[in-house]
Amino acid sequence: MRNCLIICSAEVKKAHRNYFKSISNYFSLLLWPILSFFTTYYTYSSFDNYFDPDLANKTNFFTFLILGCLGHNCFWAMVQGGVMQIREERRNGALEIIYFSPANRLALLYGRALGDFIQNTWMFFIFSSIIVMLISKFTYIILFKIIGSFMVLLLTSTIWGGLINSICIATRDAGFLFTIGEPMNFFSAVKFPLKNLPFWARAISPIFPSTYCIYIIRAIFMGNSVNTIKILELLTCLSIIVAITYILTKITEIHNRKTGNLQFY
Amino acid sequence: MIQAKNLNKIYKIKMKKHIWNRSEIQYKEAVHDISMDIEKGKIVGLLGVNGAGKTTTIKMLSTMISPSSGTIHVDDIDAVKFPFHAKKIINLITGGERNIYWRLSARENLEYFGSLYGLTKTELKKRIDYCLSIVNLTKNADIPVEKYSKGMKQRLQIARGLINNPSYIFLDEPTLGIDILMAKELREYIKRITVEENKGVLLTTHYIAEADELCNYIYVINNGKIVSEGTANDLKKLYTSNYCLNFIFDCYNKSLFDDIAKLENIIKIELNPELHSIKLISKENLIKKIIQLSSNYKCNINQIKTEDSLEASLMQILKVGNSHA
Ligand SMILES: Nc1ncnc2c1ncn2[C@@H]1O[C@H](COP(=O)(O)OP(=O)(O)OP(=O)(O)O)[C@@H](O)[C@H]1O
Ligand SMILES: [Mg+2]
Repeated sequence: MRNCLIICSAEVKKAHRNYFKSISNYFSLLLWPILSFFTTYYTYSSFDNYFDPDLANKTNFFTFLILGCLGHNCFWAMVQGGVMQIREERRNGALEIIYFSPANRLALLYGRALGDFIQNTWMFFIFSSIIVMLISKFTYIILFKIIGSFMVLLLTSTIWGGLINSICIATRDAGFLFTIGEPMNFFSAVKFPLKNLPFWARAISPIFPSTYCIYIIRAIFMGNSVNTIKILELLTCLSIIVAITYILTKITEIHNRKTGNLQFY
Repeated sequence: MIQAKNLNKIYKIKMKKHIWNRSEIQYKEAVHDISMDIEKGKIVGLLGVNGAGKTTTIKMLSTMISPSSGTIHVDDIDAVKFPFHAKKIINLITGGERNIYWRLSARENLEYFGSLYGLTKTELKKRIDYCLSIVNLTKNADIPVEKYSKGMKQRLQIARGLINNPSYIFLDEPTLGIDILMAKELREYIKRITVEENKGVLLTTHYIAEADELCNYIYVINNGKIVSEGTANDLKKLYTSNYCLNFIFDCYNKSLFDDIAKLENIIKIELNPELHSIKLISKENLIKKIIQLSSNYKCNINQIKTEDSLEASLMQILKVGNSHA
């Protein structure tokens, strides 16, 4: 356990030291999401016909959208960070050395997910928090709401990131994960209420933990009571993801030891 | 002590074909029935040409890949069944500039890799200072690695390999791409840590001089098999007592070539009808007999070359072995 904590914190530190200065991250994880947020906002407000009474008020609508963007941003950062980092480490051989060590594999995966989360989402998180504070009346409750939703985001994104990382370790061709952005956007109802999602799509949404995560942080901020069933569903979804990550990691380790695949890039 | 018995490694290789054909699977036996011992305080060398199976062997011993059959024991730990236990007391140093983070400084690199072994902050700090001082990087410890020279990066690799204070160290071509002075310095480090810290070292190389200078015991492998083993002196004696001859005739005469091949005491022979040449390694000097035979067949000899340095003989053995395979 102590070892796992050491490994996690080493991963977080490394992510910070290695990628903090990377300018492309500021664009892809702060500026573009902000732009995407405004695109959505102006697209909707140009037509000005909210059928949803909950969103009829401008503040609510703004909050609704920014939370969706924030959720999507966190989950997307996991994909982008994981794929890029592991691709680079595969190339420079560090991955082989990391897997040569006795480090706990899950601690590695979750440590880097956590590192990616902190490293890549703090800017947009602060941006969204400021927006939310500006548009709603400032009370201490809102600070608690921010902290609460941060915890939800942290937990779900890190677990999601662990899965992404384990896939990237398992296959050299993890580039396909980059195509996950659009489906995640749609099925998690990032830009519209979950209840408006067509029936068939709702069968697919539970695959993405972002669906529940976004739903819950919206509920936290927009005063709706948080649905216990949704929380249970989220926990189930997360446990399944952890289980898949664990199994995939085991299989990959055995397979890599058989084929020597980690040396390839 | 690390004891490996009867290691085999068979790789499965999918041959690339057109998409609509099913890919064909081939098996490649990279290592065949290799057994070896690595004792603490000793440097063991693994010598062989490209593709001989050195890296595959070292990867099996260091638990990075699993053998297809055979056993490996690291200080009584069954390293095939319990690789994670063995990993704690071994480490690996490879040649080249890979395997480290170029944007991080040496100290940050070591901090990261040390953490993978579960070292706490204080342990880590002590160990890092020690490792940096061993490879003379203390002064440059806080500069990003990308600003380092090749040699400095290589030294950092060594420091990284020592970070968990391993009992056994594997070195895969540690002097790859390094100038002779630097290589010499590296060899000194390796010797020093082996003796002073009583570590067991396995080193692969294709530089015979390196094996000669460093190793207490040498295994020569070719095509995945151990073709000979012993101390550097044993090997030298073995090969320098052999004769390594190279004849070129002015014509090809099959019966002459057949007769030469039938001579006694030949260890390896390579016949090349197109070039009218014969290369052979033998236990006795066959020059006289071969001249005799060629005059019997009225075939002139254009050139005779003899080679007897350790390197030349060893290379000859390996080359002849390859062409037979
Ligand atoms: N992961 C792998 N999958 C399939 N075949 C492999 C793999 N790794 C090595 N081989 C094959 O096994 C044989 C031995 O390779 P190995 O890398 O052990 O040689 P080596 O002695 O280290 O050579 P070098 O001096 O070039 O490093 C080669 O023929 C190589 O093609
Ligand atoms: Mg090699």
